[in-house]
Amino acid sequence: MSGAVSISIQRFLIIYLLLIIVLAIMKKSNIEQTKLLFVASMRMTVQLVIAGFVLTYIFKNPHPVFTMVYIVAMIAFAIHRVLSKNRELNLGFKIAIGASLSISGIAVILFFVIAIVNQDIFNPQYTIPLSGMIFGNAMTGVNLGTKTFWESLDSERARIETLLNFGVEP
Amino acid sequence: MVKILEISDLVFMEKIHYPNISIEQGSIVFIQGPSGSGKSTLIRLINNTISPSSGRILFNGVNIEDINSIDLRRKIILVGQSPYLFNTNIKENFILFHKFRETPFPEDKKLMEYLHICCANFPLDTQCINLSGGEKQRIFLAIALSFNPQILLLDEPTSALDSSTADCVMVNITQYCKENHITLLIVSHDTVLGKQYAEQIIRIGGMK
Repeated sequence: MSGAVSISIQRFLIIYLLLIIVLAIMKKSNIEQTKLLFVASMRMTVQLVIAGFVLTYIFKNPHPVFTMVYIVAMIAFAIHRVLSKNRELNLGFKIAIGASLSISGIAVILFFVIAIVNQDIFNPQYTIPLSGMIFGNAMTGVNLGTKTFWESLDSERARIETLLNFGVEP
Repeated sequence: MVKILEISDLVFMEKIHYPNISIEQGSIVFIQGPSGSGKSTLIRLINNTISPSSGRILFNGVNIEDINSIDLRRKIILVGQSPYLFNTNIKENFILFHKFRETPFPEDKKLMEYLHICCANFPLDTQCINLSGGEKQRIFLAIALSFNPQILLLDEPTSALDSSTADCVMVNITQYCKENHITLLIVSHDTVLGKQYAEQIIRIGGMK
């Protein structure tokens, strides 16, 4: 693993200092969500530890299959997260979301890793972190898009229903 | 007389069971029943904006599931309870709705006629934002008439009107529809209105 930075457990624990600040602000603002914050922190810790072990193994034993499996898992997770919040969408819409997340995500990763970073696309040390950022942001973007779509449907309900009732092509 | 609509064994969401219904072309039909009995749902099923769990609706002898839904809705126009008008004047509203439907736009004289039928004798340049709920409802109705449907479905068309205006609208619309062989289906709570204008009354019972 070239260029990797080691962080000691003590330094890693400083991350939790930020959570204490959030907890203090929540207490001050009478937001009674301490349990939620605690559970979310624990979940984050477990996820980070598992991801750490998996990534350490992949970085030490780089193989195209590992990189591809990791990317496929990220795509599947991103699609699942978006669709689980939009269960009412029809099949065509769901396919469009899945296709746009995976095709555009992979295209952007290829562009970044090959054209910008100038590395092998199967080099896990570059491809996996970049993919994480790209799919994470893409997931947030699609979630915001679908949220706006539902809000527009609500606010424009009378107009949409009228046009449909009058035989206008959607 | 020719049957324009035939409904049999119709069920919606496994909850609302409709009686078998047969409607003749050009007739004036009222749909009545208690709140929540599925009156508005029935007319939405007829113009295929929602689908039944089972049963069938024949339009001119053809199952509506076999007809392109846009083509169907151009022939069976549904005028909902909440009128929607664009934030512009009356004439522009006619123009915009016809533009969306990609249908030829009627001339001003014809527009005035439709407005007159709906007892909405306002100048065409009147801004819709300045109109009351009842006035908007009548203009909305006039726009629907201008599409020359085969069946006109009206959901509580007189709900925002006083009794004399409601009478004016009902007399004119029923007369226009009779003259032009348009089948009129009206959802209304008003039993007096039904007795006065209906040639056929369909009573919807409700959930089973």
